[in-house]
Amino acid sequence: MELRISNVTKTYKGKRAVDSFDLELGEGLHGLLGANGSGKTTLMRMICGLLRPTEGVITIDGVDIAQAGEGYREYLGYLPQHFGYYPNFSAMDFMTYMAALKGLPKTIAMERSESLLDELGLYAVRKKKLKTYSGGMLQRVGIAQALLGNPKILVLDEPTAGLDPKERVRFRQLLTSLEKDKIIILSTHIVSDVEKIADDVIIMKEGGIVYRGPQTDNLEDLYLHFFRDGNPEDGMRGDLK
Amino acid sequence: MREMNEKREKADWVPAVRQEKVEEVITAGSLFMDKNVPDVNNVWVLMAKQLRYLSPSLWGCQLLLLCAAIAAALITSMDCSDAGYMIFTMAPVAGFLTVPEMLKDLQYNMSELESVCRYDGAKVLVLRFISAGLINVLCLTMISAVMWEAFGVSFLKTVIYGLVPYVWVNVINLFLIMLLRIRSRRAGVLLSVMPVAALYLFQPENMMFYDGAVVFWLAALAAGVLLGAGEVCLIMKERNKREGAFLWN
Repeated sequence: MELRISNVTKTYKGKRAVDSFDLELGEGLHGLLGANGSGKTTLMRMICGLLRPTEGVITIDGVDIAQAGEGYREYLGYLPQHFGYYPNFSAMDFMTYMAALKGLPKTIAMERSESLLDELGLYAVRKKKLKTYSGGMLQRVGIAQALLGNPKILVLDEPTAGLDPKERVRFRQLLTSLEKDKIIILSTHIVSDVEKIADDVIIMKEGGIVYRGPQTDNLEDLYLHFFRDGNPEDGMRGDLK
Repeated sequence: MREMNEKREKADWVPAVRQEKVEEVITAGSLFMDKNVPDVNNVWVLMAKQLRYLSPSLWGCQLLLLCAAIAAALITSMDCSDAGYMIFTMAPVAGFLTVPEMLKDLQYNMSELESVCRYDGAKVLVLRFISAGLINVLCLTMISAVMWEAFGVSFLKTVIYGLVPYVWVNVINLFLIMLLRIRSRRAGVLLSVMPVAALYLFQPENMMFYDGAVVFWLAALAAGVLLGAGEVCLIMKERNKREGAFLWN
């Protein structure tokens, strides 16, 4: 499976949020690093089909995702940056509701919901209303719903926001335990989220890619290199070596 | 006997295999099972989920009105025009929460998540309208039946006296909430009280509840339904574009 982003640009009122972006993503975990305002969320939304590119096209195995429509959304699992919820739903209600929207049959929806909530440490509180949950618990519900349909493409936008360090470690373990035949895009501004688990790292700045390469031990230094004040043009492109 | 036991043991004997092979088989089996998941749930399951989506306050309004109608039928006596006026005043209360409920996903920031599901915003919105609409219309019909039985008003007239204000309240609510892009749940509910208040200020004359005015009521109903249908089509178009819906937030 290959997700290809070909010369994609997104402009809002004259401002380019994503600028001539080219990327091919195969199976594996891809870390997308960038500061706030670098265009990560806009790119994530375009990959999910929520926004249409001003220019360019995004394809999955050669098919434009805008044309694929429902067929593409079947493969998709998404956790947005600002995760909304219905406060009067319990976690279990919410999961089965999302499962119904994703088209999962009832028995499978129940089993998967319980299993995911258990894996994320929410089984004991699954019948409590979401309005009683802490930020970290809500974020875990969001991660659980993203995994519901056993998606082949998993798009996680700042998934560790609100999670404490222990929960972050657990989340990284969960990601590494997922099957290898998925395309997982993890967008974050926290280097440690992708350190040691990402198969490759993409650094975004001002709507474009400034670095793409394999996981490296000095990822934090590399990342900071692109985001300190001064000379972004000094940044290295491509392979560090 | 011994031979039989030996034969049975041979038949049951499973040769030892390498661990990697076992894992390979389990993975293959799991993939096979995933691909053979029975096809999607049907529309009734989705409809049931939309009924769960609707908050208890909508149900509560309907029940309250039905109880009020039954109480009025049991303890008061009024003539046809008074009964007609009573239905006219009760019907908006049945419907004023409908539009805020329909657009709850925008107000709770859920439209982004729902838009990436297989059954996306536009399809689900239709089901929501149908679910909420059925509840409201069922309630109004029951109230109308009570009024018809208690005060002798014709069934058709009681349905019209209920539907016209109900439709117009929803048309105005939908227009205002979409125009002003109301993002707050509370503001949406408060705003939806305004058309109800305006309708009460309108205070139709008693003569409007007599026979000759049926044509007026039917025309008002038709106009309201057409306008409402137009608004719903615009919302569906915006939902189909998707970015128009979730960029509200």
